[in-house]
Amino acid sequence: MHAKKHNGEQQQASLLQAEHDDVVVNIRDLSVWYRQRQVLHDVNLYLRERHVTALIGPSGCGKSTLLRCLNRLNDLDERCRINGEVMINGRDIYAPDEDVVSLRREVGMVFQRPNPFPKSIFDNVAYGLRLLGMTARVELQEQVRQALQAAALWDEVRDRLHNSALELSSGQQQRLVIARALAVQPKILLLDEPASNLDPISMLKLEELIASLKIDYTILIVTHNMQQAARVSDFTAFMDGGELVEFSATGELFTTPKQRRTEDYITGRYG
Amino acid sequence: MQNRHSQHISREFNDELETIRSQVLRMGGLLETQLDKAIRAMLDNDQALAAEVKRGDAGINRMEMEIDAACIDVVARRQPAASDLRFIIGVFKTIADLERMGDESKRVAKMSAAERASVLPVEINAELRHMGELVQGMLHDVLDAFARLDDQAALAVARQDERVDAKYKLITTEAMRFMAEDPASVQAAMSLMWAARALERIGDRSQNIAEHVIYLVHGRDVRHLPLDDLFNPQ
Amino acid sequence: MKQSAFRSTLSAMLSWWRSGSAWHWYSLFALSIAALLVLALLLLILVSSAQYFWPQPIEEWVIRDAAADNGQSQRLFAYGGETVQIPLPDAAADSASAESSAMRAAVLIRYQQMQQLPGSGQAAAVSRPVWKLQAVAETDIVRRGRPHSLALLTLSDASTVAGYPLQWVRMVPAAASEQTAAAVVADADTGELTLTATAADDSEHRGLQLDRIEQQWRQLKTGQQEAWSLVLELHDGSSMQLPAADIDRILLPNRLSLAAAAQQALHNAWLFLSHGPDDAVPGILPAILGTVLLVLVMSVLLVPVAILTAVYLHEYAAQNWVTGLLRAAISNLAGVPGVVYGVFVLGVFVYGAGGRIDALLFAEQLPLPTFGTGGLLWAALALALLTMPVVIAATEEGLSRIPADLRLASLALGATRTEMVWGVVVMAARPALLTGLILAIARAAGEVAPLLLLGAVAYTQQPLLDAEPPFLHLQQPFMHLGYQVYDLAMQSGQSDTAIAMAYAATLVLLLLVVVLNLFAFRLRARLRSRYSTAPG
Repeated sequence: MHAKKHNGEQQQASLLQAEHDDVVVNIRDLSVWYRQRQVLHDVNLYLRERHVTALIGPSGCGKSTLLRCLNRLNDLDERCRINGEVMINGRDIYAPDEDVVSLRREVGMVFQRPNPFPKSIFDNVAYGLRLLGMTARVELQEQVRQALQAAALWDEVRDRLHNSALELSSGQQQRLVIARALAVQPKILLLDEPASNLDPISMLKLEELIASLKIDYTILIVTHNMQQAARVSDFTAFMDGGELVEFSATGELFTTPKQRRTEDYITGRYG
Repeated sequence: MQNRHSQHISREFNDELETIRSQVLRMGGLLETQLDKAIRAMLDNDQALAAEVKRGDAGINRMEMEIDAACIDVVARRQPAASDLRFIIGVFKTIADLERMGDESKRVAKMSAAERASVLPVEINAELRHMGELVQGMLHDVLDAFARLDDQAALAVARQDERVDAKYKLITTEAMRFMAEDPASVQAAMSLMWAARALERIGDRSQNIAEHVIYLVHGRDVRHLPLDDLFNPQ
Repeated sequence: MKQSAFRSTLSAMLSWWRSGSAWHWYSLFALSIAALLVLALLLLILVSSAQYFWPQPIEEWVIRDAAADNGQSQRLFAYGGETVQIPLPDAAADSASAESSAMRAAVLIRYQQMQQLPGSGQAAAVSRPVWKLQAVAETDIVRRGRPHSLALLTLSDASTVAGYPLQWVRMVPAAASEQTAAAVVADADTGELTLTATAADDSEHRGLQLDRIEQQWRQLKTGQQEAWSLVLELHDGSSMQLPAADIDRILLPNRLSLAAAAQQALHNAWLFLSHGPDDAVPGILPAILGTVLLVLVMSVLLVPVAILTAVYLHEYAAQNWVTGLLRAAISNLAGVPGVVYGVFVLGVFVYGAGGRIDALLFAEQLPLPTFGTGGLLWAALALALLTMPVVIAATEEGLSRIPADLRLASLALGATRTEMVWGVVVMAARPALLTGLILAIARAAGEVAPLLLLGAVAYTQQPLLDAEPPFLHLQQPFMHLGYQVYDLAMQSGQSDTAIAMAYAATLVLLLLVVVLNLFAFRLRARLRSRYSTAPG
C-alpha cells in the first residue's frame, strides 16, 4: 500500500518534470475493465514526439491492452470498458465525436506475428491507401514505393511487388507490415512485440529500422525482450499487474530502477 | 540493501554472483594479511617478512585476474541489469583498487630496509603505527561493508579517510622538520614519507571502494562529491 | 522346461500387447478393409465397363431357317449373346398346347441383315446391311464359329458392316489396264487370299492380304483417291463394293492381338464419349454435358448464398445459443434425403414460382409449361440446396481459421468492419470455400433422386447449349450421367448391353467428378500457395 502511494507520487514527479511541449500522447488515469476484471489501473503515461518509448512487463500485465487503447482497437470487444483520458495532440480520442477510422489512420499498428494479408506485396502496402479511396495507379505506386523504402524493404522486393506477400521471410514480412502501416502516413506507430517471432539478425534489422523511423514518427513499442527495449527506446515504462510501476529514461531504468518491482523484473528475480 | 544474490530465478546466476562476491572477499582477506605483514615488517625492520609480502602480492594479482574473468563471463552470458549490473561494475572497480592496494602494501614493506629507527625519534614510529592501524581499520570496514552491501558502513569508511589524511599531513610535516633540522636524516625521513604516502593511498583506495559500495547499493555515483552531500535521505 | 518356454512366450506376448503396437495393426487392418472395398468397387466398374468397350468377336452362325420348314439353313454374321428363355416359336399359331413346354432355351444375338433402302432419284433401290436383335432357339443352331478372316468395317457414317474381304478393285480407263494388271499379279503372289487378277475388262483387281489389310487400305486410300473399293462377301453370299474412302476403320475382331483389342476398346470408349444417343454408335456426350452444366449452374446458385450465410453466421451474428441452434439446423440439413429437396423444389419452385414465371413471361406458350416443369435450373437449385450445408460449414470453418491478427491489422489501417470482412477475411478464406465446393460437387454429381422429379430425362433432342439466344436453356429437361446409370440399370433385366453401358456411364461419371475436383484442387492449391495464411 505504501509502495503504491510512493509509486504514484514518483510518477507525478516525473510527469511534472517531463512537462515537455513535445508530448504527443498523454494518457491520464486510464483504467480498463474486461468484464468485471480491471486490467489497467490508473495508468499515467506520455509519449514524446519522435521518441521511442518501450513498454515492458510480464505477460498479462496490460501492455497490449494499453497499446490498443491508443487506436481504440479495444472498442471491438464489447466486454471492454474504459475510463480515463487519452489525449493525442491535445484531442481526447475517446470523445463521442471522435472518428475512429481516421484515428486509426493516424495511429499505425504492427502486431506480434507478421500478418501480411493474403495478397501481393504491392496490394498489402496499398491496402490502406485504397481504403482512403486512392485509385490512381501512378500515385499508388509512388506511395507504395515510399512506404517500402521507409521500411527498408524496397531494395529486397522491388522486382517482385506482385508476388505474394507470404513468400517473404518472416523478417521481411514484419517490415512489410510496417510499410503497410506507414503507407497511410500515421503520426504514431504502435509496435506490439514486433520482433518476438524473428531470428536475431532480422530482429536487429528491425531495431535498426525503428531507430531510423524515430526521425519521423513517435513510436510506442511493447516488448518482452528487455535488452531490445534497452537498445531501441529512449524511455521505458515498466508495467506489472495492470499498473504502470515505473516510467523513466531507458538508461536510468535499466541501471538504477527506483522501484523494487522493476528491479526484480529486469534482473530476473522473483518478486 | 541486503544481499539479494540468491533471489534470481536462474540458480546458476545466483551461484555465479555469489562466487564472485566471496572471491572478492577472499582477495580482500588476502590483502588484509599482506597489509598487516607489510606494516609489521616496516615497523620492526623485518626483512624476511618484507620478502614474504613481496612474494604474496603475486597471489593478489592472480585473484584480480580470476575475478575479472568471472565478471566478464557474467556480462557476456547474463547481460546483467540494474543492481546486478552495478554489482559487476562495482566489483570490476573494487578489484582494481584492491590490486593497487596490494602494490602499495609492497611499497610499505620495502621501507623496512631503511634505517629509520636509528635516526628518527620513537614517537614518529608510533604515529606511523597508528596510521597503519587506521588504514587497516578502514580496509577491514570497507570489506565488511562490501560483504554486507552496507551503504552506511561504507559511508563511515569514507569519513575515516579524513583522519588518515590528517595523520599523513602530520607525519609529512614532522618528516620535513627532521630533514630541515638534520640533513643526515634525509634518507630516513624520505622513507618515512614514502611509507606514509603508501598508507595514505591505501586509505584513499579504501574510500574508493566505499564509494563503489554506495554506487552498487544505490546506483548513485558519489565520487567527487563533498562527503556531507553523500547522504541526504530521499 | 516346456512350461518355462510357454511362460516366456506368454510374457513376450503380454509385453507386446502392453507396448500398444497392437493398435498399430488394428488400424492398419481397418485401413486395408476400407482400401480393399474401394479397390473392389473400382475394379467392378472398370471391368464391367471394359466389357462394354472391348471388341467382341463376330461369329458366323448357321441356323435352321425357322421360316422355311424344309431343313434349309441360313448363314448369319452375329454377335453371340446371353442365353434367354423364350416362348416356343409360333406357339400360339401352331397348337393350343403351348402351356406344356412354353419356354425353351435360346440365344440372343445381334446379327446382320440386309435391308432394302428406297432409291433416291434415278438410282435404283439398294440393299444395305443393318443390325438386328433376335433370339435363336438353341435347337435351331447348326453350327457357330469364329472365322479369322471375318472383318468388321466401320464406315464414315459410323455404321458397321461385317463380311469376308475378297479383293481390292478399281475402275480404270481401258488404255492403262494392261500394265497395272501385271503389277497386281506380282504383288498378289505372297497374298493369303489370292484372286488371280484379270485385266480383261475395264476394272483392275488387286490381291488382298488379310494380315496387311489395314496397311493396304491406308495405302490405297491415300494413294489413289476414291478409286479403290473393297469387295466384301456378305452373309447371304452376295458381294458388296465399299469405296476405300468411305471406310473409317477395318477390324478383324476374331484375330485381334491384345494391343489391337485395347486400342479398339479405347476407340470405342472415345466413340461412347463423343456421340449422342442418336448416332449409329450410341454415346453419352449430351449426358456428360448435362451433368457438367448442372454442376456449374448449381455452383453459381450455391456459392454466393453459402458465402453470405457463412459470413453472416461467423462475422456478424452474435455468438449465442440462437446462432448455435441455427448452425446445428443447417448442419442437420445435410442429412435430409435428396428426394426431399426434389419434392420441395417441385412444390415450391416448379409449380409455385415456375408457374408464375410462365404466366408472366411465357403466357403465349401456355398451357405448355416453360419454367413450370422440371428443368436444368430447378434441378440445379435442388442440388444447391442439398449441398449448401457442406459449403457453409466448410466456409465457416475457413473463416474461423483466419487469425485474429489479420482482422485487427485491417481495422488498424482504418478499414470499416465491412471492408475488413470482405476485403481480407473472405479473401483469405477462399481455399476453405473451395474445399466446401469440392465436397459439394462430388456429392451433387452423383445425386439422382431429386433429378427424377425435376426434369432429368433418358433422352432428349433439345440441346442445352446452342447458338440461339439465350444460348444456355435453363428451362429445358436435360440428360444426366447419374440418371443414365439409373435408367440403364432399370433396363438391365432385358439386356447385358444395358448393364455394361450403365457401368460405362458410371465410370464416366466417376471420371467426371475426378476431373471437376482436380480442377478445383488445382485452383485451391494455387490460391493457397499464393495467398493463404492458414490451411483451408
